[in-house]
Amino acid sequence: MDELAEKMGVDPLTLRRKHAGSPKDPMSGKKYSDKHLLECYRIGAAEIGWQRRRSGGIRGSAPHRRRGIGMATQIWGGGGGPPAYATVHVNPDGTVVLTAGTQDIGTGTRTVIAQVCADELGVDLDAIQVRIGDTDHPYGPISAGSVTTASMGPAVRIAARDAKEQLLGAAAGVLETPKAELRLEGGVIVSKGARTPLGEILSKVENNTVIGKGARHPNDPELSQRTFGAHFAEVEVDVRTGEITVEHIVAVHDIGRVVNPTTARSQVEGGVLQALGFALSEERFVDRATGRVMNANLENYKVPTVKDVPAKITVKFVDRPDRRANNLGIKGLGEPPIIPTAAAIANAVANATGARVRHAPLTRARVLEALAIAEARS
Amino acid sequence: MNAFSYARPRALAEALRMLRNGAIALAGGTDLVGLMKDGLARPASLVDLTGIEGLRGWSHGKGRGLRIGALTPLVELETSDALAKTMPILRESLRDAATVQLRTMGTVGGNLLQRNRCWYFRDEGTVCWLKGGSRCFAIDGENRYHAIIGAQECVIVSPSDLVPALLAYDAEIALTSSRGTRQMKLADLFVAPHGRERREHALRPGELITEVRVPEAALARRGTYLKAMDRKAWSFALVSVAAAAKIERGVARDVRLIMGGVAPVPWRVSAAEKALEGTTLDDAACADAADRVLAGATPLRDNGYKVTLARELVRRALRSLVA
Repeated sequence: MDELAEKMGVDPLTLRRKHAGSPKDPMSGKKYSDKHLLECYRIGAAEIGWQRRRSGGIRGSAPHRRRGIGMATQIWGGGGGPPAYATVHVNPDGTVVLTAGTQDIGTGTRTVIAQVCADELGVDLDAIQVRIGDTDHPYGPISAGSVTTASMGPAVRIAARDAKEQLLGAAAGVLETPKAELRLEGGVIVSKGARTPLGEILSKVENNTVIGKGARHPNDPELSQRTFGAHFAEVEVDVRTGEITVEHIVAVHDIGRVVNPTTARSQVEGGVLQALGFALSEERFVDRATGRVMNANLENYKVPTVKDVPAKITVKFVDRPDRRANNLGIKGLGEPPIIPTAAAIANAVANATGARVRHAPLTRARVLEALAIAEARS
Repeated sequence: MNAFSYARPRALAEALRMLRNGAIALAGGTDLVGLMKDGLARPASLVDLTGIEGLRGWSHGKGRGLRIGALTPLVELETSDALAKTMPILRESLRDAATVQLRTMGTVGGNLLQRNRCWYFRDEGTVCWLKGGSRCFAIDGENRYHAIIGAQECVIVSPSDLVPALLAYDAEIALTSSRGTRQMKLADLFVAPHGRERREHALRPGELITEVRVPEAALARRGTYLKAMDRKAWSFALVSVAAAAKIERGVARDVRLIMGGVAPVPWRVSAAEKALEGTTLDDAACADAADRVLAGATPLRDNGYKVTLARELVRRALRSLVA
């Protein structure tokens, strides 16, 4: 895209803006459930200072160092879908057990589904015990494909609502008040002028554990559920040694409603760092004669170190619920953060130096070779 | 890992007796233990040197040069402010060496004697020339990290960050064995494997490095160490350069230029140093020195970039001496 823009003499972001606004998914011809890619571009461009970008790069911190700004887009699935099931047990003491067959591999699933449950049920987050990671539990999707939150979340909400309806029904009988006049808030049944702890209601009904069940509803087959995002990179390149320093990454994503800003930001930061290795240093070496992998170790398979981490990573979300995607308006954020980072860095390097490296990672060898080619051309 | 016997004597004489009988010396273990775990070293007995008094620490007697005990942890050379005044290149070279954990365990003597990092050598299943096999697999294999100069049957590169820095200051080493002691130039410790010499170090059996000595005259030099890595920390050098010289009224004397990561031994070309003698280390002199130090370089399929890197690092290191 950047090379096309350069040939046309157009700013690469302008070129993208011209073509990125379509509400239709060109793959399927269906309308997107929601799309705020242009908003991602707007936020990202402002955060990185895109107006500072100059064709041919800008001066770096020393005569042999050039600075460049680049960006790239991500469009990914992440709409989730069935099958996914959850159950919500409300115990006589007012505590809640949320059970699902999903797993938390560090992405924050445990926290996020507890939040959805607490919010829908009307109890404190502390009251919820999450039981996941067991195939004896109701079926949940694998932790892959950016589908976990958008598959599990809606099922949990339905289960919590089921439990809540049962609780309000029981409370209506005990309190002799119409169900429509009751609310559940912070573990307390609130009616006109009265507050009754949940435990008190449950102790008065015969079957005193309430079980809510939820199954993920299907997606609208007429719509295309996608996530959108853009990453912007600012780099400095030592044009005589090929050393790249990533100074700033701005990551902006449209994933519908953000359930938990902290875990979402953390997921993006993790994706950026993982992609940093993909962009700059991680490479497998296979001996061509024997097929042996020469660097199946942490000495020569180079994951980024703390010193490689950009001085600044800015994470932003559009954070508008995608109401046509599912009952929570949420979409996944598993893979999106790793998708555009390497391309954004490579585009920034090309902007800084005029050297276009088409293979990841951008090692000294590749950058120096591209610089030599660029120099020969000019 | 094979079974082995282990002893930690308190007296040097006792250690030397064990070494004479074929024991292998263990200090920080940051290289040896890795070699043992990978099946590349199978010692029947280890003699742990860390219980021996008197081989740790450094001293600088005015006019008598710098002495560094072989068991001194690298981190001690890196963090000592007093030493940073006496010989600043030590801190500079060690700052980017391995990790702080490895520098804490690793010793000066062990650093000098560490083995090369060639991934064919380090692969237990590959019987390369250096391990007694019939050929080097890197020469026409995966050779991004290998030698561009000075190699014969084996294209390993000198891995140490400390060694080029010490060589730029004319370091010598004291050796001892049950037969007696001797002193040699540190430069003479390193062997480019060739012919029957399928080894990297010229240590005799049963011999131990006890001390590194830097002559007083060399301490008057300005020095610098530059290292290119393919990430910003915890990597062996793609190319490194140690440069030192006495700068008198802007003119360079006693110039030393040593490169790591490019040849099987720390790479030094005296013609390059001589040509710099008496110059102001201007760009033309630096370019000329780079030409001379890399004359005859024969890059392999994947390591031509090292020539470009080496030229630039030589220039920068020399220029910084007069900056």
